[in-house]
Amino acid sequence: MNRHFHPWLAELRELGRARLRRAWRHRWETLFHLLAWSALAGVLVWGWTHVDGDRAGVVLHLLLQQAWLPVLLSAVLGWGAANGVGRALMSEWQEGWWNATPVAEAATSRTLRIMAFLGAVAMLAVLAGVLLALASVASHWRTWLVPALTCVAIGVPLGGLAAMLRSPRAFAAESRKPRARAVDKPLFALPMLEWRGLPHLAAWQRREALRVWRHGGRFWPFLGLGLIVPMGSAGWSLFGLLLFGLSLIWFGLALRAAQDVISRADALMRAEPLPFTSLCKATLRYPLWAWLVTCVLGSVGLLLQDARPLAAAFFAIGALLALGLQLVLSWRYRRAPWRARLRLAADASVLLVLLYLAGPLALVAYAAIVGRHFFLARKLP
Amino acid sequence: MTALLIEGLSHAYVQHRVLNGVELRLERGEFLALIGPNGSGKTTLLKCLAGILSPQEGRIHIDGVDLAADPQAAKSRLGFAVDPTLLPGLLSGRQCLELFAGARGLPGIPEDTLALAQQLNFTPWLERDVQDYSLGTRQKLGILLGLIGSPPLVILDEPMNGLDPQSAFALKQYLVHLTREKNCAVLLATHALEVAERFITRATLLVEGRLVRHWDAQALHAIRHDPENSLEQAMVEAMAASGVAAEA
Repeated sequence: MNRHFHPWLAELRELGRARLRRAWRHRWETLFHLLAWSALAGVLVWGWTHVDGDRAGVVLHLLLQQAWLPVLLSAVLGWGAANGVGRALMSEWQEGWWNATPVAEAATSRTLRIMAFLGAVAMLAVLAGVLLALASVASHWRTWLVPALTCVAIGVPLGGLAAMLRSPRAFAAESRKPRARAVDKPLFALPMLEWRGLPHLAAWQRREALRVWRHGGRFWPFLGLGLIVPMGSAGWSLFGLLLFGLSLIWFGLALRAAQDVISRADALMRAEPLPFTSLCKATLRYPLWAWLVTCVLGSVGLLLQDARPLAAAFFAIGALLALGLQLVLSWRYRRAPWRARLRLAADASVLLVLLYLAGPLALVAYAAIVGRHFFLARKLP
Repeated sequence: MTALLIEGLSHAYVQHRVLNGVELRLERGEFLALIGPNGSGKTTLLKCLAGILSPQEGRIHIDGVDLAADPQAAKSRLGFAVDPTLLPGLLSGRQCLELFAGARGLPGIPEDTLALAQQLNFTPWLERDVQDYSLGTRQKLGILLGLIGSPPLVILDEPMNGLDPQSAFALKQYLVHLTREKNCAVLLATHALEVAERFITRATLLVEGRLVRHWDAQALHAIRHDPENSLEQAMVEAMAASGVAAEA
């Protein structure tokens, strides 16, 4: 990379090459992951085709009544995406290993603006993709697709351009803003979650989940949720859907936090005489608590949408099965958490296909997969 | 009794061989300095001893227990200072100590650990979150975690890094106390030769994955009492004799 751009771009390029080389070196694993992700994508597409598209889109209909509102919302999203990229980059350049490098201000500014605009372009692509996906399952898409795409195509670049005009100093000042120190402190103690043999691991998991939750950035699924609100929904039903979505988002976040803590606790205590069973006992309780909370909130949400109690029971069982798979993978791949996430996608897609083909017999496959992961997790030195 | 016995230890990262048939015996009550230039394999050796890395060849016995055959029992006889970068920012110092006490099956934080915390001026930091610590304070916590329960073998990798002179002195006194009063063995990897020289009972030089030179108590005594000589000078000469350029 030349002197016109920040050397971070060259780093990005080299990192990309290194990842490609690694993917080629582990080509069988890469192939397995590609197949697994393709299978999962297939399952998702199949699921999407069963969505009633004409019931979706009440929010879009309402929004498009006032043309300026969707443009403004799109502009806010474009500004948010570009601004987020700019702030993250300035934070990395100021606090990371580039902080003492003599990079010309013009090069920094140029790179920052290009990357910020690319952030807005990515947002535009995502929004257009969501709209087209909705249109693919709706028969009356002609009434809203073109106006919606137009609004997005105008609003997002406008917001991105507004963010691009900010100076690098403005991004830098924003990235240096001190965060509230109490942001990860729980409101009340839950001492029953602690296993006395290895205390504070559950508290660590809980605080990690709270930290991510309260720092925000996990609310984007609400956008998708808003787009599939059925037409003419009653207030209680909407509240139920919100509760259900909220519980799912919280559950995913809590499981991810629990997984991160398992991995970091293992690195921290690698030289300690820590039996695997102790690690399991100490890191099991918080995810189970998260499941319980999810079941209560999610079930109430479903019941408010006039779902039958059996649906709530199926929801609880499904969440428990997901929790079991996620936990054993977190334990097995505690030294390579990224692999746990890839494996989760792969195993989940295989199990969903089996569920579709063989029904409840998929539970046998589930037990075998979970058992094997647990056995291998125990063997890890 | 032998606190540490290493036989034919070898380890490689993919193609790059880092340790090459390392042999070492450390008795209880001994204070050994492991010295060597950057990249000589010191940290890799210590990680193998702590069970963090699995060596490709060789055996490690900690206080008579084979690390490969019974890692739990071997690790319970070993204390390894924690890398400050691995400390959890969301827990307080006391919570970290209680967590490690739990991992070692202790009912709570031992009194001598709290006494050492006091000597290291760490007590005011016990209730604060690790994310508020400076580098030196994190280093103190990492050391306290490694020393919890006074195991028969203590392994420290550059423990004086980031410590203020008062804390560094208190730590050295404590390590000497461990070897003399509690009959523990201490293995200290360090570049601070002038610091190590006064407290250790033995030193060994690791160069390109091999232990190429040893200094016993007698040799160290002679170096200490020779105003024209120092361990640093002896190490540089030994490295030159091994055909390696000095970096330390």
